[in-house]
Amino acid sequence: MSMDLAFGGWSGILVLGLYGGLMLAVGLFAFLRHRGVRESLDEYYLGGRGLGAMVLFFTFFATQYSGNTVVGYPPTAYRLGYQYLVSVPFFIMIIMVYLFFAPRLYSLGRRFSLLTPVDWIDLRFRSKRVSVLAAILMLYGLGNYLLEQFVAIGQGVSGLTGGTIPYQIGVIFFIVIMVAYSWLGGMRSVAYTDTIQGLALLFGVFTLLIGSLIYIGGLPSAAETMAASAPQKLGAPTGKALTTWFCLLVLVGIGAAIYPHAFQRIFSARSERTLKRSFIRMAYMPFLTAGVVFMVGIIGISAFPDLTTAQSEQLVGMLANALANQNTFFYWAMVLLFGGVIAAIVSTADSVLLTFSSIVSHDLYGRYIAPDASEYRKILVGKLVGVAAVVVLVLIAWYPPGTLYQIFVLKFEVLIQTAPALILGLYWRRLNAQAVFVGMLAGTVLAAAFTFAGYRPLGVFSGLWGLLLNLALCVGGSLLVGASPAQRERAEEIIAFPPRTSAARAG
Amino acid sequence: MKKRITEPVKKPAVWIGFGVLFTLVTPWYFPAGSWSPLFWGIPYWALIIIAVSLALSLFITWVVLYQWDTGADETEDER
Repeated sequence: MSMDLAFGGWSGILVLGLYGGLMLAVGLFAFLRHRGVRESLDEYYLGGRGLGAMVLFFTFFATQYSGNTVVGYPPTAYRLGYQYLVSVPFFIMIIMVYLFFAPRLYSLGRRFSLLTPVDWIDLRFRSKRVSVLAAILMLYGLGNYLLEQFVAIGQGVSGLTGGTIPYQIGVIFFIVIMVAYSWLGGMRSVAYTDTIQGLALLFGVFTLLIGSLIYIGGLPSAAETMAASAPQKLGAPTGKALTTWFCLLVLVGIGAAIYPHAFQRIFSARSERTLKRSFIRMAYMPFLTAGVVFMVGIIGISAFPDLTTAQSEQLVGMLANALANQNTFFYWAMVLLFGGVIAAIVSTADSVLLTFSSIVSHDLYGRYIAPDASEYRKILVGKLVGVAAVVVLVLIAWYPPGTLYQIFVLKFEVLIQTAPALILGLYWRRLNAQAVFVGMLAGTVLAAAFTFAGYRPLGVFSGLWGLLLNLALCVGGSLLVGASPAQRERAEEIIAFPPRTSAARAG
Repeated sequence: MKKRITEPVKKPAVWIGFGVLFTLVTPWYFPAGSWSPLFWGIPYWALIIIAVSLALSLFITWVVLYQWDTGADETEDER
């Protein structure tokens, strides 16, 4: 699937080349300023736990809002109309969900030097089964997520360069750049490049909106088109659409907050204050990003009525084409927009890859295979396994399955099953490791089975059914057979808040 | 000076606030399929949802500023 744009070609290649060079320079800068980055897991994966409010905000932002937000959301808004307005509150929900666990998690992360989400699960439950299952689910979910980003890079590159270079070369170019700067500076490179990528993304969506409003039409003409031909796109959602709205709020809210790469970012904050400031800024970003791309999709309804589902997937490309033909300013603005889209995809992919590697480095290799290995060696293993995974995923990405939306739901369904262990574990001493394991496994199996069978009872998404079963088993099992007194005492030592003794703090 | 330690998850006001806003940000309380009147081409119910979303962001700001202080930064300073 490609977007054949009237613009692009060599100007696209120029922008992509400049962009790649800039990212590499940032990686080199991070490397030169922090030479010891490859010797320490904390330095490499968490930027030395020293990210300030602005960089932390942008890395949260660029990680959460992907290229898919720009390219995939307007077509969905085009097809569903105002029923997809849910994309604004569901991004706010993510921050709301953070507030229920991030304060305590950050504090524990400092006390116990936690590195990854699995690290926390291991500290809390001391159960190899629970830790390994959680690690596998996270790696699977992250792998799928990375796959989606690679598919999207391919589409973006082929659109922007107008087929001047085969898109496979574009994909490989960006992956090599991404891996190079990640390897050079670890989390710092990723966070600094996220800042540039976040700005590029914001510039892109705003020029797209402004251009569409000037040259294509406003919301009133879109409303007229909908009222005449598809009033359900204007109307308040009912029945199945209402259930979908509710499911998206819950699923995205919980799911995106506990994405391993989002979860891990909490540990890299320099202080509680910086984390709080980043969250406050994040609470308003949905209006400036999801809200803006939603409007772009709605404007598309009057500009290009009666597109089929497959055609509507190209909506952003069509709008960009129409704008690029207006004048030189919009021509370059649209080239930069697509550069920004690719930047946004790369910025999500690099974070996902870094977290993927950290789980391999620290939780699988470092904890179970070679606990005595040096941190340098653990990082090296994480990097190499990460690259091997990338190679496999790229091969899969060149045969992309279905539309982006379906893959999007698939990864949530698996990742969300780690939520009870991650969040309930923070507060409930009685929580039993056996029950957590059974719940996580059963929830995953149910969610996967419902998804593959296309079964959606009461219109509720399969991931939520899995989570319900998971929670019921976790809570029911722990109520029937609580953790042993010794385990409870241990849990108390860890999660008591405020910390009980200074001895526990040394942990 | 010893600061007050507070977590949002332990505050009933936080749960109630989020509960109410979550209920209102789901558009179940509008007549099915209704969209008139339109304001600037936006259906009335969508504007209400946007307003509630903004209220949710403002509430999050309040929670972060006044209901979250675990003293993690002070512990850092002691070291």
